[in-house]
Amino acid sequence: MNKDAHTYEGLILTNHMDLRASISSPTNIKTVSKRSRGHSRFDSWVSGKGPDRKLDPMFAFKGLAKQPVTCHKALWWRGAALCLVLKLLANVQSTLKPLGATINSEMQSISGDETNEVRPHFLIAAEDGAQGPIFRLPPEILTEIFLNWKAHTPEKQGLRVLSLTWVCHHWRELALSLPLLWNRIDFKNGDWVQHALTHSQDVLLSIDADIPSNRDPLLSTILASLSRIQRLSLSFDSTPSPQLSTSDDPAPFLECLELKQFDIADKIFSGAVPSLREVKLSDCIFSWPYIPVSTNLTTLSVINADAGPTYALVSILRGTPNLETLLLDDVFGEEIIVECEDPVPLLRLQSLSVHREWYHTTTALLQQISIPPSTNVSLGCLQSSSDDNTPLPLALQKCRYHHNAPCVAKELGIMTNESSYTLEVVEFDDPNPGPTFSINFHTGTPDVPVMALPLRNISQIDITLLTALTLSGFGSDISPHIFGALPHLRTLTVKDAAAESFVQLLIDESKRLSEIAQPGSMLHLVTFPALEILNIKINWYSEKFSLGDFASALGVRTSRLDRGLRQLNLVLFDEEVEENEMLTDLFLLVAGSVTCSTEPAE
Amino acid sequence: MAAPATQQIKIRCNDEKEFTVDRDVLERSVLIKNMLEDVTEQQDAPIPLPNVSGPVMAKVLEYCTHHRGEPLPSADTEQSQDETRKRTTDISEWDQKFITVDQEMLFEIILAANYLDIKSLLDVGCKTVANMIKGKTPEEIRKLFNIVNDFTPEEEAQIKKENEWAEDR
Repeated sequence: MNKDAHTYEGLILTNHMDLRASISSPTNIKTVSKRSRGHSRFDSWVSGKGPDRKLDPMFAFKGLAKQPVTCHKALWWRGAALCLVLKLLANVQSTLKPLGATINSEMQSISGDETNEVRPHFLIAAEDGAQGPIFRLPPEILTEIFLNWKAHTPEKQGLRVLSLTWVCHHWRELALSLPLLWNRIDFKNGDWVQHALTHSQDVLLSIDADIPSNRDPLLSTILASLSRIQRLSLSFDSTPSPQLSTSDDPAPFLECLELKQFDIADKIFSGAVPSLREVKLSDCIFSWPYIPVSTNLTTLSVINADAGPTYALVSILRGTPNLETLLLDDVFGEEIIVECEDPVPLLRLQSLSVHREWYHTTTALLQQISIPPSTNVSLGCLQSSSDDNTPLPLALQKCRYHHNAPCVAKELGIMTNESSYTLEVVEFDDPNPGPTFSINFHTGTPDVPVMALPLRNISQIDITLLTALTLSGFGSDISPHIFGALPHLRTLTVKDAAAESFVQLLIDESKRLSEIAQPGSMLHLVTFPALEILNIKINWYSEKFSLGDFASALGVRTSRLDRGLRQLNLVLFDEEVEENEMLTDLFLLVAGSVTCSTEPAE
Repeated sequence: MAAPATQQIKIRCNDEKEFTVDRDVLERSVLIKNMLEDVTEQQDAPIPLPNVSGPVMAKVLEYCTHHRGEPLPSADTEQSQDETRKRTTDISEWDQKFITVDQEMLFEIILAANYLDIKSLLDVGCKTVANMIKGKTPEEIRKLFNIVNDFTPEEEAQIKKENEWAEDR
């Protein structure tokens, strides 16, 4: 292509050179006549040797000149003819004069060497040795290098593209003519955005911008290109929030929409977002019906809003059969109980996360959707003041298992602190392996009776197949009932206050066993015959019990294990480091292997 | 009908250097592959490659030999690798070692890959140059590639203005 262009330009130049030469010297007029058919006729006519009268524009006049006339008449005619010729020559000269000046100026702008072809300057420079070998690369390869360079450039560094245009004239021209270099707009400077919008021409855009103020024209500048925006991420950090008004412009190519702190007053983009796959809204003001969705939607994430009751969201979800991720965090308004239709099947859902919602709101949501058993679920609830008729796990079980298939917890973690209580079921015995879910209960009440909540709630889940259990941070004594029957428990982790309760329970039980002197009679209290690993973090110098008592109790306990305790992992506080060896020796009597590690005292 | 994999083909470079290479190695080049498919009769005359020198062709053949047997990008793949394709920045360890050459040779290899239509080699070359540019200032890029700053005063003024955008973060 370039070669053709060079040749083409070279030919033009040759013609110009000839013309310039013709004009500069009157004798060269013959050169012009040789190349130009029109001029040739004119020349022949002046010399009286015109070969082609029929085509000659001066046919009538020349016809007269050839007639036999008297001497005076002949002289007159010849004089008249000469005047006409001079007049015509003057006209031709006045026409050619400006053309010659133009050609002269063009010639001056080109190198003085008239034999040189006009070639892209990057080639000339390379041959002259003025530029490095990179200048041998044709533009299409340099373009490919630029696009690869862009792929290397991290997100949010779109401005770096400018640096390519600051290298040299050739690179600048090439970079500015490459729309794909300018389609990532992640900078708030209005001039830059305008620059990028212009140079990106009509390719799809990815925009990530902080709107500096409510009245800044940047937002309207960006939205003017809505018809070619593929990814739009806008954030705003002050108040009042800018409003995304009802826009008639559809967003046919919009795939990802992220908004932070915007006021969505109506159905934005005229509701025409057929390509939309991801919607992430944070701190936005809106109602569920205004949320833009499409059947292609795979991710819906909403954080911190007051968008309305669950049924309004659920009616939106009816139009999103391909949803894979649903994340809701503090988004529902006051719950309104409506007559429940059939649950919305979200059969492709891989992750469900609902946090900072009221217990009864979460339950209500779960009762209105139907998700695959393999979905990873994470729920965080605020304890409702009213009595909740449907326990959350039951609702979850129902929504995960449409046909009331068994729901068996394999791993359970329980943790409380002053204000919250966490029940975490990490793994289920599912037909589809790999799912996890957790439930967090924030009671807002310190010193929750330890077993009151879990017994009420986990009673809906069969935990007899539990293989791992974590207990930590209990504010009051641990109930022995939790150990009622865990025949498959292999790993037990106890920490902090819960660990103290556990050790105390073990010591008490050991003493009672000794008193009764009938080994095994109280084993229903603490029964995990498959236990292999015990992880325990405790202040070993608690005044509540002696280490000897614990080792002894553990010895009594583990001597009754089927296979014995394989691994005991003790976690020490910093100040207990010096006692490390003593502890290891003491507990080696009751476990196959003992490790001591240290953690800072809280 | 496809020729046997062991068929030997002769090529001649612009410096008269000749190579005799297995057909399947040479067919990494779409240009040569098409040429061979167009010729039905076996010919003893070497294929002239007027745009490639012997030393560069030797490097190209080293690449083609290492990657022989790998699937060539199909027309569909090439179409999908259009402007919107995801460009990965990965270069395999062997390719990285292979392309660690001086700049003169690097650009010669890129030009040869372009001429011979060896897409994967061209990709490796372009990615390598892109990696060389990565993280460098315009001045550093000029120094690296021996590029002369030839901006007009008007362009210099515009660049100065653009520089100010960067401060408006």
